[in-house]
Amino acid sequence: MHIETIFGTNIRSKFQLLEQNFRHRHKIFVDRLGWEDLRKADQRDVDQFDNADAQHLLLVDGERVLGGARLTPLTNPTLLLSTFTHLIQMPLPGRLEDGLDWTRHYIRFARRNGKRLAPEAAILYSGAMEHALLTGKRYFTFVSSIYMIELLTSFNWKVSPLGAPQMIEGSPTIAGWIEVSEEALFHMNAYNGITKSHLNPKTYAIEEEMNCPQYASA
Amino acid sequence: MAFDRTVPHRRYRGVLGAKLNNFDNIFSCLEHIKRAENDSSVLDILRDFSEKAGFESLIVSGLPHRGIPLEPFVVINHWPQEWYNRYMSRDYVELDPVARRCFQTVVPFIWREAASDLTQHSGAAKVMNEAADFGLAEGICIPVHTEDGMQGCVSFGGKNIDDDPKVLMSLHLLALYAHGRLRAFRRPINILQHSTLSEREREILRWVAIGKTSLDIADILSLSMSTVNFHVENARRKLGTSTRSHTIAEAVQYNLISIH
Repeated sequence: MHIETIFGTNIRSKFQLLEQNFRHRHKIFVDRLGWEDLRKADQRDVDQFDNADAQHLLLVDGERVLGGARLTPLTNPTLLLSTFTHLIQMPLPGRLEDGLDWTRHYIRFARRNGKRLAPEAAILYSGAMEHALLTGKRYFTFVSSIYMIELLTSFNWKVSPLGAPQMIEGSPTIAGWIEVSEEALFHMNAYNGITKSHLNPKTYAIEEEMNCPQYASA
Repeated sequence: MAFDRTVPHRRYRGVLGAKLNNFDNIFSCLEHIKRAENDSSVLDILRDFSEKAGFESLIVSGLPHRGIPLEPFVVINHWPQEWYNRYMSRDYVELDPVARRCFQTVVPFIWREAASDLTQHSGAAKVMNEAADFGLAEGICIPVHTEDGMQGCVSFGGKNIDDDPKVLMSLHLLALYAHGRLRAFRRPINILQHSTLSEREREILRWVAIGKTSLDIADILSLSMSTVNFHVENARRKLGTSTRSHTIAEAVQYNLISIH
Protein backbone atom coordinates (compact mmCIF):
# COMPACT_ATOMS: atom_id res chain seq x y z
CA MET A 1 0.00 0.00 0.00
CA HIS A 2 1.39 3.39 -0.94
CA ILE A 3 0.34 6.89 -1.94
CA GLU A 4 0.49 8.12 -5.52
CA THR A 5 0.60 11.86 -5.90
CA ILE A 6 -0.93 13.13 -9.10
CA PHE A 7 0.01 16.58 -10.34
CA GLY A 8 -0.89 18.15 -13.65
CA THR A 9 2.47 17.00 -15.03
CA ASN A 10 2.20 13.26 -14.39
CA ILE A 11 -1.53 12.99 -14.94
CA ARG A 12 -1.19 11.01 -18.17
CA SER A 13 0.62 8.04 -16.61
CA LYS A 14 -1.77 7.88 -13.66
CA PHE A 15 -4.95 8.47 -15.60
CA GLN A 16 -6.63 5.19 -14.59
CA LEU A 17 -6.07 5.86 -10.90
CA LEU A 18 -7.51 9.34 -11.21
CA GLU A 19 -10.59 8.00 -12.98
CA GLN A 20 -11.14 5.47 -10.17
CA ASN A 21 -10.78 8.33 -7.70
CA PHE A 22 -13.49 10.39 -9.41
CA ARG A 23 -15.86 7.42 -9.34
CA HIS A 24 -15.16 6.62 -5.70
CA ARG A 25 -15.72 10.25 -4.81
CA HIS A 26 -19.12 10.17 -6.47
CA LYS A 27 -20.04 6.99 -4.61
CA ILE A 28 -18.94 8.37 -1.27
CA PHE A 29 -19.88 12.04 -1.36
CA VAL A 30 -23.07 11.78 -3.44
CA ASP A 31 -24.44 8.26 -2.97
CA ARG A 32 -23.41 7.76 0.64
CA LEU A 33 -23.18 11.23 2.18
CA GLY A 34 -25.96 12.69 0.06
CA TRP A 35 -24.26 15.78 -1.38
CA GLU A 36 -26.86 15.96 -4.14
CA ASP A 37 -25.42 19.15 -5.62
CA LEU A 38 -22.49 17.09 -6.83
CA ARG A 39 -24.55 14.40 -8.56
CA LYS A 40 -23.44 13.75 -12.14
CA ALA A 41 -25.01 11.61 -14.85
CA ASP A 42 -21.70 9.86 -15.56
CA GLN A 43 -21.20 9.02 -11.87
CA ARG A 44 -17.88 10.89 -11.75
CA ASP A 45 -17.38 13.60 -9.16
CA VAL A 46 -15.34 16.16 -11.08
CA ASP A 47 -15.58 19.91 -10.57
CA GLN A 48 -13.76 23.09 -11.61
CA PHE A 49 -11.14 22.58 -8.87
CA ASP A 50 -10.00 19.28 -10.38
CA ASN A 51 -7.79 21.23 -12.76
CA ALA A 52 -4.13 21.00 -13.71
CA ASP A 53 -3.08 22.68 -10.46
CA ALA A 54 -4.87 20.22 -8.19
CA GLN A 55 -2.71 17.69 -6.36
CA HIS A 56 -4.42 14.35 -5.74
CA LEU A 57 -3.05 12.06 -3.07
CA LEU A 58 -4.36 8.58 -3.80
CA LEU A 59 -3.91 5.70 -1.40
CA VAL A 60 -3.29 2.72 -3.64
CA ASP A 61 -3.09 -1.01 -3.04
CA GLY A 62 -1.95 -2.70 -6.24
CA GLU A 63 -4.21 -1.18 -8.89
CA ARG A 64 -6.99 -0.29 -6.46
CA VAL A 65 -7.57 3.17 -5.05
CA LEU A 66 -8.52 2.87 -1.35
CA GLY A 67 -8.83 6.54 -0.53
CA GLY A 68 -7.90 9.99 -1.62
CA ALA A 69 -7.52 13.65 -0.86
CA ARG A 70 -7.38 16.71 -3.09
CA LEU A 71 -5.00 19.54 -2.28
CA THR A 72 -5.37 22.77 -4.20
CA PRO A 73 -3.08 25.82 -4.03
CA LEU A 74 -4.70 28.82 -2.35
CA THR A 75 -3.21 31.08 -5.00
CA ASN A 76 -5.84 29.73 -7.43
CA PRO A 77 -9.60 29.69 -6.94
CA THR A 78 -10.39 27.12 -4.22
CA LEU A 79 -13.49 25.63 -2.70
CA LEU A 80 -12.72 27.47 0.55
CA LEU A 81 -12.29 30.92 -0.96
CA SER A 82 -15.10 30.68 -3.50
CA THR A 83 -17.85 28.61 -1.87
CA PHE A 84 -17.28 28.82 1.89
CA THR A 85 -16.24 32.43 2.39
CA HIS A 86 -19.12 32.92 4.82
CA LEU A 87 -17.33 30.55 7.21
CA ILE A 88 -14.25 32.78 7.34
CA GLN A 89 -14.07 35.65 9.80
CA MET A 90 -10.38 35.62 10.57
CA PRO A 91 -7.28 36.14 8.44
CA LEU A 92 -5.40 33.16 7.00
CA PRO A 93 -2.27 32.34 9.00
CA GLY A 94 0.17 33.25 6.26
CA ARG A 95 0.76 33.97 2.60
CA LEU A 96 -1.57 32.29 0.12
CA GLU A 97 1.38 30.60 -1.61
CA ASP A 98 2.21 28.79 1.65
CA GLY A 99 -1.18 27.12 1.95
CA LEU A 100 -3.07 24.17 0.46
CA ASP A 101 -6.84 23.74 0.60
CA TRP A 102 -7.57 20.15 1.69
CA THR A 103 -10.79 18.84 0.13
CA ARG A 104 -12.56 15.61 -0.90
CA HIS A 105 -10.82 13.48 1.69
CA TYR A 106 -12.16 9.95 1.86
CA ILE A 107 -11.28 6.38 2.71
CA ARG A 108 -13.17 3.62 0.92
CA PHE A 109 -12.64 0.87 3.40
CA ALA A 110 -12.49 2.12 6.94
CA ARG A 111 -11.36 -1.20 8.35
CA ARG A 112 -11.54 -0.87 12.10
CA ASN A 113 -9.69 -2.94 14.60
CA GLY A 114 -11.89 -1.68 17.41
CA LYS A 115 -9.11 0.30 19.04
CA ARG A 116 -7.83 2.93 16.73
CA LEU A 117 -8.40 4.75 13.51
CA ALA A 118 -8.20 2.56 10.42
CA PRO A 119 -4.56 2.31 9.40
CA GLU A 120 -5.45 3.46 5.88
CA ALA A 121 -6.87 6.73 7.19
CA ALA A 122 -3.82 7.43 9.32
CA ILE A 123 -1.52 6.69 6.37
CA LEU A 124 -3.41 9.18 4.22
CA TYR A 125 -3.24 11.90 6.91
CA SER A 126 0.43 11.21 7.37
CA GLY A 127 1.00 11.31 3.62
CA ALA A 128 -0.76 14.64 3.26
CA MET A 129 1.33 16.15 6.05
CA GLU A 130 4.54 14.78 4.56
CA HIS A 131 3.54 16.00 1.08
CA ALA A 132 3.06 19.51 2.45
CA LEU A 133 6.46 19.40 4.17
CA LEU A 134 8.18 18.13 1.02
CA THR A 135 6.59 20.80 -1.16
CA GLY A 136 7.41 23.61 1.26
CA LYS A 137 3.89 24.41 2.46
CA ARG A 138 3.17 25.78 5.91
CA TYR A 139 -0.53 25.24 6.43
CA PHE A 140 -3.66 23.48 5.21
CA THR A 141 -7.10 25.02 5.09
CA PHE A 142 -10.21 22.86 5.33
CA VAL A 143 -13.97 22.90 5.77
CA SER A 144 -15.44 20.05 7.76
CA SER A 145 -17.95 18.96 10.31
CA ILE A 146 -16.86 20.07 13.78
CA TYR A 147 -16.73 16.38 14.78
CA MET A 148 -13.53 16.13 12.76
CA ILE A 149 -11.85 18.63 15.08
CA GLU A 150 -11.78 16.13 17.94
CA LEU A 151 -9.92 13.61 15.80
CA LEU A 152 -7.39 16.08 14.43
CA THR A 153 -6.54 17.56 17.82
CA SER A 154 -6.25 14.06 19.30
CA PHE A 155 -3.27 13.50 16.99
CA ASN A 156 -1.62 16.55 18.51
CA TRP A 157 -2.20 18.46 15.29
CA LYS A 158 -2.40 22.21 15.75
CA VAL A 159 -5.82 23.20 14.44
CA SER A 160 -7.33 26.70 14.45
CA PRO A 161 -10.76 27.88 13.40
CA LEU A 162 -11.11 30.54 10.72
CA GLY A 163 -14.56 31.47 11.96
CA ALA A 164 -17.51 30.45 14.06
CA PRO A 165 -19.17 27.15 13.19
CA GLN A 166 -22.40 27.30 11.19
CA MET A 167 -25.11 24.83 10.30
CA ILE A 168 -24.75 23.65 6.71
CA GLU A 169 -27.19 21.02 5.47
CA GLY A 170 -27.97 20.02 9.02
CA SER A 171 -24.36 19.58 10.09
CA PRO A 172 -22.32 21.96 12.28
CA THR A 173 -19.56 22.99 9.91
CA ILE A 174 -16.35 24.92 10.38
CA ALA A 175 -13.54 26.36 8.28
CA GLY A 176 -10.11 26.09 9.81
CA TRP A 177 -6.42 25.68 9.24
CA ILE A 178 -3.86 23.07 10.25
CA GLU A 179 -0.24 23.88 10.93
CA VAL A 180 2.21 21.93 8.77
CA SER A 181 5.13 20.72 10.86
CA GLU A 182 7.57 17.86 11.36
CA GLU A 183 6.08 17.48 14.80
CA ALA A 184 2.60 16.92 13.36
CA LEU A 185 3.98 14.27 11.00
CA PHE A 186 5.90 12.60 13.79
CA HIS A 187 2.86 12.43 16.08
CA MET A 188 0.58 11.03 13.38
CA ASN A 189 3.16 8.33 12.67
CA ALA A 190 4.04 7.59 16.29
CA TYR A 191 0.43 7.30 17.46
CA ASN A 192 -0.46 5.01 14.59
CA GLY A 193 2.65 2.87 14.36
CA ILE A 194 3.59 4.21 10.92
CA THR A 195 7.31 3.59 10.54
CA LYS A 196 7.98 4.69 6.98
CA SER A 197 6.89 7.11 4.32
CA HIS A 198 4.16 5.86 1.98
CA LEU A 199 4.71 8.53 -0.66
CA ASN A 200 6.17 7.49 -3.99
CA PRO A 201 9.78 8.76 -3.86
CA LYS A 202 10.00 9.09 -7.63
CA THR A 203 7.29 11.71 -7.59
CA TYR A 204 9.32 13.92 -5.30
CA ALA A 205 12.64 13.30 -7.03
CA ILE A 206 14.41 12.38 -3.85
CA GLU A 207 15.46 8.94 -2.80
CA GLU A 208 17.24 8.52 0.51
CA GLU A 209 15.41 11.16 2.45
CA MET A 210 12.06 9.49 1.99
CA ASN A 211 12.72 6.91 4.65
CA CYS A 212 13.49 9.28 7.46
CA PRO A 213 15.89 7.47 9.81
CA GLN A 214 13.95 8.39 12.93
CA TYR A 215 10.91 6.47 11.72
CA ALA A 216 12.73 3.39 10.48
CA SER A 217 12.74 0.21 12.49
CA ALA A 218 16.03 -0.87 13.93
CA MET B 1 -13.79 20.34 2.35
CA ALA B 2 -15.59 17.96 4.51
CA PHE B 3 -13.40 15.30 5.92
CA ASP B 4 -16.52 13.70 7.19
CA ARG B 5 -20.07 14.81 7.26
CA THR B 6 -21.51 11.40 7.85
CA VAL B 7 -23.19 12.25 11.14
CA PRO B 8 -26.85 12.97 10.56
CA HIS B 9 -27.61 16.05 12.53
CA ARG B 10 -30.83 17.50 13.76
CA ARG B 11 -31.17 21.14 14.63
CA TYR B 12 -29.84 22.11 17.99
CA ARG B 13 -32.78 21.98 20.35
CA GLY B 14 -33.52 23.34 23.78
CA VAL B 15 -30.30 25.20 23.94
CA LEU B 16 -28.58 26.75 26.91
CA GLY B 17 -26.68 29.90 26.29
CA ALA B 18 -24.85 31.11 29.39
CA LYS B 19 -23.39 34.56 29.58
CA LEU B 20 -21.39 34.12 26.43
CA ASN B 21 -22.16 37.02 24.22
CA ASN B 22 -19.70 36.54 21.42
CA PHE B 23 -17.47 34.02 19.76
CA ASP B 24 -14.24 35.84 20.64
CA ASN B 25 -14.16 34.14 24.03
CA ILE B 26 -14.22 30.75 22.38
CA PHE B 27 -11.56 31.70 19.83
CA SER B 28 -9.19 32.83 22.51
CA CYS B 29 -9.97 29.78 24.61
CA LEU B 30 -9.23 27.44 21.68
CA GLU B 31 -5.98 29.26 21.05
CA HIS B 32 -4.92 28.73 24.66
CA ILE B 33 -5.89 25.07 24.55
CA LYS B 34 -3.91 24.68 21.34
CA ARG B 35 -0.82 25.94 23.15
CA ALA B 36 -1.39 24.02 26.38
CA GLU B 37 1.37 21.57 27.19
CA ASN B 38 -0.40 19.24 29.59
CA ASP B 39 -3.87 18.23 30.71
CA SER B 40 -3.86 20.31 33.88
CA SER B 41 -3.34 23.46 31.75
CA VAL B 42 -6.34 22.45 29.68
CA LEU B 43 -8.34 22.02 32.87
CA ASP B 44 -7.29 25.50 34.08
CA ILE B 45 -8.29 27.05 30.75
CA LEU B 46 -11.64 25.27 30.64
CA ARG B 47 -12.41 26.08 34.27
CA ASP B 48 -11.56 29.72 33.80
CA PHE B 49 -13.70 29.83 30.65
CA SER B 50 -16.64 28.06 32.22
CA GLU B 51 -16.63 30.29 35.30
CA LYS B 52 -16.58 33.42 33.16
CA ALA B 53 -19.41 31.95 31.12
CA GLY B 54 -21.49 31.50 34.26
CA PHE B 55 -21.10 27.76 34.70
CA GLU B 56 -20.38 26.35 38.13
CA SER B 57 -19.15 22.85 37.54
CA LEU B 58 -17.35 20.95 34.84
CA ILE B 59 -16.32 17.39 34.10
CA VAL B 60 -14.58 15.72 31.16
CA SER B 61 -14.82 11.97 31.26
CA GLY B 62 -14.87 8.81 29.22
CA LEU B 63 -17.96 6.66 29.70
CA PRO B 64 -17.30 2.94 30.06
CA HIS B 65 -19.97 0.37 29.40
CA ARG B 66 -22.17 -0.78 32.25
CA GLY B 67 -20.47 -2.63 35.07
CA ILE B 68 -17.08 -0.95 34.65
CA PRO B 69 -16.13 1.66 37.27
CA LEU B 70 -16.17 5.24 35.98
CA GLU B 71 -13.42 6.81 38.03
CA PRO B 72 -10.37 5.73 35.94
CA PHE B 73 -12.09 7.32 32.93
CA VAL B 74 -12.47 10.77 34.47
CA VAL B 75 -10.07 13.06 32.64
CA ILE B 76 -10.66 16.32 34.46
CA ASN B 77 -13.08 17.10 37.23
CA HIS B 78 -14.35 20.33 38.68
CA TRP B 79 -17.40 19.03 40.53
CA PRO B 80 -18.20 19.72 44.19
CA GLN B 81 -15.95 17.18 45.96
CA GLU B 82 -18.72 15.72 48.09
CA TRP B 83 -20.92 15.07 45.07
CA TYR B 84 -18.01 13.58 43.14
CA ASN B 85 -17.25 11.14 45.97
CA ARG B 86 -20.89 10.18 46.32
CA TYR B 87 -21.34 9.70 42.55
CA MET B 88 -18.25 7.49 42.30
CA SER B 89 -18.79 5.42 45.43
CA ARG B 90 -22.39 4.67 44.53
CA ASP B 91 -21.76 4.00 40.82
CA TYR B 92 -24.32 6.65 39.88
CA VAL B 93 -23.07 6.57 36.31
CA GLU B 94 -25.16 3.40 35.90
CA LEU B 95 -28.33 5.35 36.66
CA ASP B 96 -27.50 8.90 35.60
CA PRO B 97 -29.76 9.72 32.62
CA VAL B 98 -27.28 12.36 31.43
CA ALA B 99 -24.51 9.76 31.16
CA ARG B 100 -26.86 7.20 29.61
CA ARG B 101 -27.99 9.63 26.94
CA CYS B 102 -24.42 10.16 25.74
CA PHE B 103 -24.55 6.65 24.31
CA GLN B 104 -27.52 7.55 22.14
CA THR B 105 -26.71 10.90 20.59
CA VAL B 106 -23.89 13.05 19.21
CA VAL B 107 -25.88 16.24 19.75
CA PRO B 108 -25.41 18.41 22.87
CA PHE B 109 -28.39 18.38 25.21
CA ILE B 110 -29.53 20.01 28.40
CA TRP B 111 -29.59 17.80 31.45
CA ARG B 112 -33.30 18.09 31.99
CA GLU B 113 -34.02 16.73 28.49
CA ALA B 114 -32.21 13.57 29.53
CA ALA B 115 -34.17 13.41 32.76
CA SER B 116 -37.40 13.40 30.81
CA ASP B 117 -36.07 10.47 28.72
CA LEU B 118 -36.00 8.17 31.66
CA THR B 119 -38.76 9.10 34.03
CA GLN B 120 -39.72 5.46 34.20
CA HIS B 121 -36.52 4.67 36.09
CA SER B 122 -36.76 5.72 39.71
CA GLY B 123 -32.97 5.58 40.02
CA ALA B 124 -32.57 8.19 37.31
CA ALA B 125 -34.84 10.65 39.09
CA LYS B 126 -33.02 9.96 42.35
CA VAL B 127 -29.63 10.85 40.83
CA MET B 128 -31.01 14.01 39.23
CA ASN B 129 -32.62 15.10 42.49
CA GLU B 130 -29.52 14.45 44.55
CA ALA B 131 -27.38 16.30 41.99
CA ALA B 132 -29.69 19.28 42.38
CA ASP B 133 -29.17 19.14 46.15
CA PHE B 134 -25.44 19.50 45.52
CA GLY B 135 -26.01 22.50 43.26
CA LEU B 136 -25.98 20.62 39.96
CA ALA B 137 -29.59 21.19 38.98
CA GLU B 138 -29.10 22.43 35.45
CA GLY B 139 -26.44 22.10 32.85
CA ILE B 140 -25.47 21.05 29.41
CA CYS B 141 -23.78 17.87 28.30
CA ILE B 142 -21.78 17.47 25.12
CA PRO B 143 -21.34 13.82 24.10
CA VAL B 144 -18.08 12.86 22.41
CA HIS B 145 -17.70 9.78 20.27
CA THR B 146 -14.18 8.91 19.21
CA GLU B 147 -13.03 6.98 16.17
CA ASP B 148 -11.98 4.02 18.32
CA GLY B 149 -15.56 3.53 19.44
CA MET B 150 -15.25 5.07 22.92
CA GLN B 151 -17.91 7.34 24.39
CA GLY B 152 -17.14 10.37 26.48
CA CYS B 153 -18.61 13.67 27.47
CA VAL B 154 -17.88 17.23 28.46
CA SER B 155 -20.52 18.43 30.88
CA PHE B 156 -21.01 21.98 32.18
CA GLY B 157 -23.30 22.70 35.14
CA GLY B 158 -24.90 26.05 35.87
CA LYS B 159 -28.11 27.86 36.67
CA ASN B 160 -30.19 30.49 34.91
CA ILE B 161 -28.73 29.98 31.51
CA ASP B 162 -30.32 31.57 28.43
CA ASP B 163 -31.02 29.89 25.13
CA ASP B 164 -28.83 30.67 22.14
CA PRO B 165 -28.15 28.10 19.39
CA LYS B 166 -25.02 29.83 18.12
CA VAL B 167 -23.46 29.80 21.54
CA LEU B 168 -24.24 26.14 21.95
CA MET B 169 -22.56 25.33 18.67
CA SER B 170 -19.48 27.22 19.84
CA LEU B 171 -19.55 25.37 23.14
CA HIS B 172 -19.84 22.12 21.19
CA LEU B 173 -16.74 23.05 19.19
CA LEU B 174 -14.86 23.97 22.36
CA ALA B 175 -15.76 20.66 23.99
CA LEU B 176 -14.63 18.61 20.98
CA TYR B 177 -11.42 20.59 20.68
CA ALA B 178 -10.55 20.23 24.35
CA HIS B 179 -11.44 16.54 24.38
CA GLY B 180 -9.18 15.81 21.41
CA ARG B 181 -6.34 17.76 22.96
CA LEU B 182 -6.72 15.91 26.25
CA ARG B 183 -6.77 12.62 24.38
CA ALA B 184 -3.51 13.54 22.64
CA PHE B 185 -1.84 13.95 26.03
CA ARG B 186 -3.03 10.50 27.02
CA ARG B 187 -2.16 8.62 23.86
CA PRO B 188 0.03 5.66 24.69
CA ILE B 189 3.01 6.69 22.62
CA ASN B 190 4.55 9.94 23.62
CA ILE B 191 7.74 11.20 22.06
CA LEU B 192 8.48 13.56 24.94
CA GLN B 193 8.58 10.62 27.30
CA HIS B 194 10.67 8.57 24.88
CA SER B 195 13.51 10.99 25.05
CA THR B 196 13.73 10.66 28.82
CA LEU B 197 14.88 7.02 28.91
CA SER B 198 18.07 7.02 30.98
CA GLU B 199 21.33 5.48 29.79
CA ARG B 200 20.96 2.72 32.40
CA GLU B 201 17.40 1.97 31.27
CA ARG B 202 18.50 1.75 27.65
CA GLU B 203 21.42 -0.48 28.56
CA ILE B 204 19.16 -2.88 30.46
CA LEU B 205 16.49 -2.87 27.74
CA ARG B 206 19.16 -3.86 25.22
CA TRP B 207 19.95 -6.94 27.31
CA VAL B 208 16.27 -7.74 27.73
CA ALA B 209 15.79 -7.42 23.98
CA ILE B 210 18.34 -10.12 23.24
CA GLY B 211 16.60 -12.50 25.61
CA LYS B 212 18.43 -12.09 28.92
CA THR B 213 16.46 -12.54 32.11
CA SER B 214 16.61 -10.11 35.01
CA LEU B 215 18.89 -12.55 36.82
CA ASP B 216 21.27 -12.76 33.84
CA ILE B 217 21.37 -8.99 33.57
CA ALA B 218 21.96 -8.57 37.27
CA ASP B 219 25.00 -10.86 36.94
CA ILE B 220 26.33 -9.13 33.84
CA LEU B 221 26.04 -5.62 35.24
CA SER B 222 26.76 -6.47 38.89
CA LEU B 223 23.42 -5.13 40.03
CA SER B 224 20.74 -6.65 42.19
CA MET B 225 17.83 -8.24 40.39
CA SER B 226 15.41 -5.80 41.98
CA THR B 227 17.44 -2.88 40.61
CA VAL B 228 17.22 -4.40 37.14
CA ASN B 229 13.47 -4.86 37.52
CA PHE B 230 13.16 -1.31 38.83
CA HIS B 231 14.78 0.09 35.67
CA VAL B 232 12.69 -2.08 33.37
CA GLU B 233 9.54 -1.00 35.19
CA ASN B 234 10.54 2.67 34.87
CA ALA B 235 11.10 2.26 31.14
CA ARG B 236 7.77 0.47 30.80
CA ARG B 237 6.00 3.32 32.58
CA LYS B 238 7.74 5.98 30.48
CA LEU B 239 6.75 4.23 27.24
CA GLY B 240 3.21 3.64 28.43
CA THR B 241 3.41 -0.04 27.60
CA SER B 242 1.79 -2.92 29.42
CA THR B 243 4.28 -5.75 29.17
CA ARG B 244 8.03 -6.25 29.02
CA SER B 245 7.89 -7.47 25.42
CA HIS B 246 5.72 -4.52 24.40
CA THR B 247 8.25 -2.18 26.02
CA ILE B 248 11.05 -3.72 23.98
CA ALA B 249 8.95 -3.51 20.81
CA GLU B 250 8.31 0.19 21.34
CA ALA B 251 11.89 0.95 22.24
CA VAL B 252 13.16 -0.82 19.14
CA GLN B 253 10.56 0.67 16.85
CA TYR B 254 11.44 4.23 17.82
CA ASN B 255 15.18 3.66 17.83
CA LEU B 256 15.49 4.25 21.55
CA ILE B 257 17.69 1.23 21.74
CA SER B 258 19.68 -0.39 18.99
CA ILE B 259 20.47 -4.07 18.81
CA HIS B 260 23.49 -5.25 16.87
